[in-house]
Amino acid sequence: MSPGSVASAKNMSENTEEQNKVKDNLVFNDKINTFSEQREIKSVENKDIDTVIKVKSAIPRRRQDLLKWYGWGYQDSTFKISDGVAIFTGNRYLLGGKKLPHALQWIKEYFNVDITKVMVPPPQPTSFQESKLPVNIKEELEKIAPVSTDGMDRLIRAHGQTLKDVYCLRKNNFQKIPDAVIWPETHQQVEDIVKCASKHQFVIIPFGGGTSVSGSVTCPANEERPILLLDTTAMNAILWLDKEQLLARVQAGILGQDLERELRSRGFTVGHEPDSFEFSTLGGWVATRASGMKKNTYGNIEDLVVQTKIVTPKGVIERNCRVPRISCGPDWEHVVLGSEGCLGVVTEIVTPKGVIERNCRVPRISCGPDWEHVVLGSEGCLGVVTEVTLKIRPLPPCVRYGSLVFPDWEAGFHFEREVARQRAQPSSIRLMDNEQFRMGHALKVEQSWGGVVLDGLKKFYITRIKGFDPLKMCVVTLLMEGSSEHVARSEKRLNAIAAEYGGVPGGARNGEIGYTLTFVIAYIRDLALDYDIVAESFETSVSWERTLALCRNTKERVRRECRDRNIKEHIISCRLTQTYDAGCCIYFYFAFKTDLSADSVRVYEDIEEAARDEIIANGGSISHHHGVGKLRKKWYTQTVSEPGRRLLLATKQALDPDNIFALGNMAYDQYKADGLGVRSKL
Amino acid sequence: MSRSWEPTKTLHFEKPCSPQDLKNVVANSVYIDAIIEAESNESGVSKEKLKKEIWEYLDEMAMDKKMHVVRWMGVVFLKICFMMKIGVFVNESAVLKLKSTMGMNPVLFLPTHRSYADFCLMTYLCYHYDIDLPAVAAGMDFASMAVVGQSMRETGAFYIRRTLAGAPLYAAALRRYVRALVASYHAPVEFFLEGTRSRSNKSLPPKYGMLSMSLAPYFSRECTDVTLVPVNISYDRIMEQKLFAYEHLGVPKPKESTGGLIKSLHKLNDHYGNIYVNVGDPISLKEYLGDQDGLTKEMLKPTELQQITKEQMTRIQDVANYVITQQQKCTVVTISNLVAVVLMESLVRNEPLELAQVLVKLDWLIQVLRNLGATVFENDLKNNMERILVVHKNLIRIDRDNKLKLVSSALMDVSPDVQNKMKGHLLKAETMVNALPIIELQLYMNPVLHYLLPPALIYLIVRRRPVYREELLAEYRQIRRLLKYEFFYMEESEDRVFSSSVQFLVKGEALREGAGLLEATVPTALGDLLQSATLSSLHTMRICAEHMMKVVKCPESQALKRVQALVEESRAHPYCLSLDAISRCLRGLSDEGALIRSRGKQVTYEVVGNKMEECHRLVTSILPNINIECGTNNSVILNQDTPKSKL
Repeated sequence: MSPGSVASAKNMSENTEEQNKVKDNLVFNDKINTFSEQREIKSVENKDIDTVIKVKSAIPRRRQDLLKWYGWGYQDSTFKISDGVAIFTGNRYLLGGKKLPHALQWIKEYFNVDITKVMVPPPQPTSFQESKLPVNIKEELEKIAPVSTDGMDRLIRAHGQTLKDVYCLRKNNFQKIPDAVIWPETHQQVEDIVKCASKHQFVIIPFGGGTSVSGSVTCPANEERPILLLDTTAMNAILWLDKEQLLARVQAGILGQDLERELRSRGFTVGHEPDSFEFSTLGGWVATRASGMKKNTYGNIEDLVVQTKIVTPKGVIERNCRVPRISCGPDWEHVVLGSEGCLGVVTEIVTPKGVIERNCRVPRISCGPDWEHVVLGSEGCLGVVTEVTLKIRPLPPCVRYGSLVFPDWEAGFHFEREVARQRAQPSSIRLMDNEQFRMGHALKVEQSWGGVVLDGLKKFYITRIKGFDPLKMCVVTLLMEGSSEHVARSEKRLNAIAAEYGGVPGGARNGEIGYTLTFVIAYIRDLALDYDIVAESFETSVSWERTLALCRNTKERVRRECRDRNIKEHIISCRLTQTYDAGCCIYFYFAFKTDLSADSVRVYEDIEEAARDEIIANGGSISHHHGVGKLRKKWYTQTVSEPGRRLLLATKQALDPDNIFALGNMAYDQYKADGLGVRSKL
Repeated sequence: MSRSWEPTKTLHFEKPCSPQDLKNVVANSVYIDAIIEAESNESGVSKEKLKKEIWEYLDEMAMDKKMHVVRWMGVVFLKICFMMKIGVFVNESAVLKLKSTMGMNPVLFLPTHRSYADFCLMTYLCYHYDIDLPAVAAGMDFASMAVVGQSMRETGAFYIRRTLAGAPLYAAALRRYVRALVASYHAPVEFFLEGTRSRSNKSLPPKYGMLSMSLAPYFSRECTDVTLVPVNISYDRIMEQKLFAYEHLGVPKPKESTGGLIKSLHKLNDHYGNIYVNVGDPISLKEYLGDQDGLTKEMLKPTELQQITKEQMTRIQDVANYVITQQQKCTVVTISNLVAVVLMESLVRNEPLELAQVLVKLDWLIQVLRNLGATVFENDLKNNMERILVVHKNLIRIDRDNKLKLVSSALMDVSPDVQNKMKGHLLKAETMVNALPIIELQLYMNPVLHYLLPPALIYLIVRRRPVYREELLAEYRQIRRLLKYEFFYMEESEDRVFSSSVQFLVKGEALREGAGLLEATVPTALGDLLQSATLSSLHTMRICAEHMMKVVKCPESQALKRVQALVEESRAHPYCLSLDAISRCLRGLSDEGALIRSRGKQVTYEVVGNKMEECHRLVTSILPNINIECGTNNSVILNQDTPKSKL
């Protein structure tokens, strides 16, 4: 089982407790439901009620009760240093409750930290910016769905997970936070909210799991209209499940872990597992063009989505057929995929101009442009994605981890290239550089003596007999899924290719550690911040032949930027996380020692900008799956070219002329209602 | 020679490339594949055959560094240095600093090229300081030399043809080889930006081809940066001095051969004085270009097929020009240069100087040059004067009256065979006797002229009649442009050079400025120096202009001959006989628009009437009216044609 599913399974059992804890909330909900009862009935009436699977979410509406309000993830799961040993608390992950005896030594190699410092979680803030939402509008909205103007509710939804977000959060100094939060449960409610926004001219920011790392949900500081945050997580029902066609129609607010848990319990899986998948939502995946680590088997989000419904201020975009492929482009659903919240909300995608939905359900269609593709990656700026029809797959009977150890990064890289050339990828295949390899080992838990002996033998074999340099070697982690014959065949083939490049099998355990790291690495940032280390990640995609140079040059650039700023203690590391026929995805981790202040956030941002300049100069992309948001705006136009930018603004003009979804992501901040944001030349 | 040797490398690879690997990288590259594909498609020649051709080219050009040969050559080099009684001076701190920063990105050594000795010097320097021996670009003519060609290959030389025209496959192989050498090899790469030995001992305008090939990996981001190291190598005495002087007059250069080298070896058993290797401040290409060269459409192509864009090429040319000026900045002014300047002035004035006067004059000259920003490596004038008289005993001597004199060369018969090969006018034997030593002397004066030229031109313009700054600047710029092939400079820095030169002249009391008007003072020593320094180049320009105005249109080869003949008839400076100087003046005139240069079978020039008149007027107006006495009439020349008594 993957760590993801481990997490999900555990969440299930704890869920009931959580639900009890937040009972008051639910009662509150019931009250609201009576308000909007009639609408509820109206919106569901033309759907087959019997097929709807109501999902109890793992995360309550009062997120702060279960999740850390000041950082990443669950409150009970956190890295701690006590008695000179690092431990990871809680029992949600493989590492949960275990001592990590090697961790401190590894940290000391890079950073000089005072481990005796005792950390207490920062107290919750008590004062907030006042809500500017006029009372009459609030009353009108309350008739549609539950609304809250509570400060804490608004604060914890004002941000994603960038370094700056966390900094502003801890200091409670966001330039602007939303004026109110609303939790619609149905597509119809979203349509009504968007209509209300058009009528009263306020801004809507669609919000899913809040795991964005592009600044896309940040409230634009210069927005004068009231800002309503549309939290989609109450829209988390599975509307229907077609076991024969292997399709599911799901409301877009469903959390990744909820979706996966529900489907697994019925013998299916979506197989879309971005690192944030415990907390991020289906609608968020669509709006940012997300990529999951098992995309080799299941595909990226654009491969998974069969149909979407998008509410825009001008109406609903929906392709009115359900087919696997259609030749009728552009695909407007693809416009919303990655619209980063600026066009409307994904159930369909509710935009200020109406709902976008492709009105057929067929496997493929020849009728372009595909408007659904316009939605893919529109980062919320065009509308709200409310419903998505997704491909699902039967649960694989066999899941196996594996790892391969290579003498150095280049050998590992050429192995990955060869695997891609032969299209022999398993569900997931990742290459970690030496720094991450050692970091993975630092997170190894305390072992029984048998494990120690075995590990010792393995280490002896690799470093002594094979002669690998521990300061150079790299590891490829594998996740194989399928029938047991298929998995065995795949493993054999990968081992054979690895042998050609000097790689040796490193055991399933190392592979599993690698994937555990995926989910806990986000927690490390909070620990690091406590000890005055600022850490962040950024990613890119690049063609194969430019990859080695890009990694080398970007690391070198970051080191130089640090040298120039006299930053002595830092670490820059990368891994190759996805492979394609024509290239791969590279993920960088960067940390340096400094106290958390506005200054150090700016220093970090400057260095990341320099690194991105370097990446682009080396032929890399603006982003592989994080999206553009506000952080990477600077490079948007050069990425899509000037006509591309105009097309983007024209889409805005067509779907959301009043700029209800005023998130200002990508180039949408240049939108002016009158003329596509293009200044007249006269 | 048996010490273990772990030289500093420019780049660190997981798997270092051997010279043989390098060839394989090139032969199996995507780039060569694509070229072969296209070529085969067009010409119908089979791909296998084309691939074979590529391999032939690679075997022809590639270096083949072998450690044992390197060690042996190190010993041989030392031996020769002892034989030639050469002292080598290096600014060690700069080398050590450079060495400490190596290891992050490719390094290009860009030395000046004045002598064949340049080839060995950088290599030996690296050998001495434990830096991996550079891959040195050498002309094809060396490759065919028996033994030497091969051993140079084995110490890291690679060979390039002088021209790539008409051989697209060769050009592709070379381009890819140089790219691999820079991006995938762990040693510095060395080549001469000037493209050839400067016969005049002055900086030549750079050639851009080799530099653009070596910088290609930067633009495709195969490397983070490229470090360019300008190096100046200054000699007390250039081995080829006599040969160069002959070449200036039109006697062709002999073909390089091992036999010739061995024959010349006996000449080596002589004093050659000191060599000064001055390593300049390394230039970071990335810093020089700034960050603006980011995205180009070329990035969309596969890395290997990425080409240099037009804008990038302009930047590369800019870098090349900058490197040349940095080489000039690194010039070490030697005692030879100083004596040459002093002796030339006394020759022009026909006034022999006594040794004591010479020493005083030298002292003053050092001060002048230092004020102009020159590096003068001089601390013990008297001793060095004695030393240099030994080194240049065939050229300058102290006569019985204790006066410094130039030694005329022996009368020689030019064989009919050589006469046929002569490029220029058939000069009279008497002319040659005096012209040869004067040209040789001028060769040692030339390296300091880039310091003297700007103030000299300004001084000459003002000397004609008082003038306002703006007019002065305009005329100065024009004359500077006319002489741009003779004296390399960068347009961008001209404003700064102009104002500092004016300041220098005012401070040196050669000029005075009142209410914006500049005028010359009564003749001063500085004024005299500046006049004699620029005399030959301005005079050449004037005769060229006059000749072209008369004939209107003629091929370059004929113009060279005729101008030489005119110089011989007049009493112009003998350096005006230099074919090199004449052709550079003609190019300057054509760039300024006074001549139209057309390239058919041969280069032809045609006059543009009014523009030429304008240029001629300007040059004539500032040219100092000095006639030079040659032969027995000149009291500074020591005649040698009395046959030596044979015992």
